[in-house]
Amino acid sequence: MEEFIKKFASQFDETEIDIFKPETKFREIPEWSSLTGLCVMSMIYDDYKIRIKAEDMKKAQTIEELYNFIK
Amino acid sequence: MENPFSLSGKTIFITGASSGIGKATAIECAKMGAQLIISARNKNRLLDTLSELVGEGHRILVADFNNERIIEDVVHELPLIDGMVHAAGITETRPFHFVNKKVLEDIFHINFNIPVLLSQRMVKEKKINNKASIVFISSIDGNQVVTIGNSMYAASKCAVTGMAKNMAVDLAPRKIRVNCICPGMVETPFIHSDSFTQEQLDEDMKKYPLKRYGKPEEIAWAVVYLLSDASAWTTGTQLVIDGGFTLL
Repeated sequence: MEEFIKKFASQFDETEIDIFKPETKFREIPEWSSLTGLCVMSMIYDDYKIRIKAEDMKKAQTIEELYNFIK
Repeated sequence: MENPFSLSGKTIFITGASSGIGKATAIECAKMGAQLIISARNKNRLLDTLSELVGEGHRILVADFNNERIIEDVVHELPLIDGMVHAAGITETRPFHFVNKKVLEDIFHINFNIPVLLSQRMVKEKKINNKASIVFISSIDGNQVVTIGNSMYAASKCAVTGMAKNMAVDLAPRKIRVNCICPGMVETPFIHSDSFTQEQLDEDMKKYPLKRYGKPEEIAWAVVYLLSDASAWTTGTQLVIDGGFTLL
C-alpha cells in the first residue's frame, strides 16, 4: 500500500506528499485532472500488469479503493 | 448515363474489414458493384462481414499482420487489384510520460509500416493496376488536432499522411492515386477502448458542431468516392470528415 501511494503521488507535481493517504479522496486534490487519471491507469498497467477500465476507475473515490483493484 | 461513383468492374482490397470503418467500407463498396477481397485477423468476424456483402465473388483473406512473412503472403494471395483501402489500425492511450518502445513499435507497425510496405510490394510486383486508387484511413488526430494521451497514434497518423502525399507524387506516372481520409470520432468499437467513460465520450460529442460522432458508413461513402473514377483528378489529399470538429 505504501509503495502504491508513492507511485500514485509521483503522478503529481505540485501537491504536497503528506496529502496522499489511503483515505484521500483523490478527485478532490486540486491538481487532479483527466490526464492524471490516464497517468494513474498507465502506471497501474506498467507496474502491476492490471488494466483498469475508465468505468471502473470512476467508481473509486479514495486511494485505498484504487489500491483494492490491484491487491 | 454511367455513374462516375460506380465501382463496377473494380477489384478492391480492404484491410481491417472485420469491424468499424473497414467493415462499413466493404459493405458500401459491394453495394457500388466492387469485387472485394476483405482482410482481418479474425476469421469468424471476417465471415460476418462477408455475409453482409451484396453481389457475388467476394472473398476473405485472413491475415495477422504481426506475422513476419505476412506481407509476402498477402501479396502472393491477392489478384490484380484496382484499389486498396488501409483501414486496419490500433491505438493505446498513454500520456507521453508512459510512452515506451514496445507500444510505439506495435502502433507504428500496424498503422504505418504494414499499410506502407504492403502498398510498396503491390506496386513493385505490379499487382496494382495503372489508374488504381490507394486510400489510407488516417485521422484528424495528429494531422489537425491532438487529444490527451494519444501521442503515439497521432504520430503514426501524421506519418501515414506524409507518406501518402509522397506516394501520390511518385505513383502519378502510373496514374495511381493516393489519398487519406481524416475522420473525427466515429462510432465504432475502436473508440470504446476502456480508457474513457461513456460520460466522457458524451461530453466530447457536444464539442462537435453537428453534435454527434460519425457513423462508419459516412466515412465509407468518402472511400467509395476516392476509389471511383469520380475522383480521377484527386490525389495527395486529406479529406477531413469530422462533423465540423476542427473548425472550432
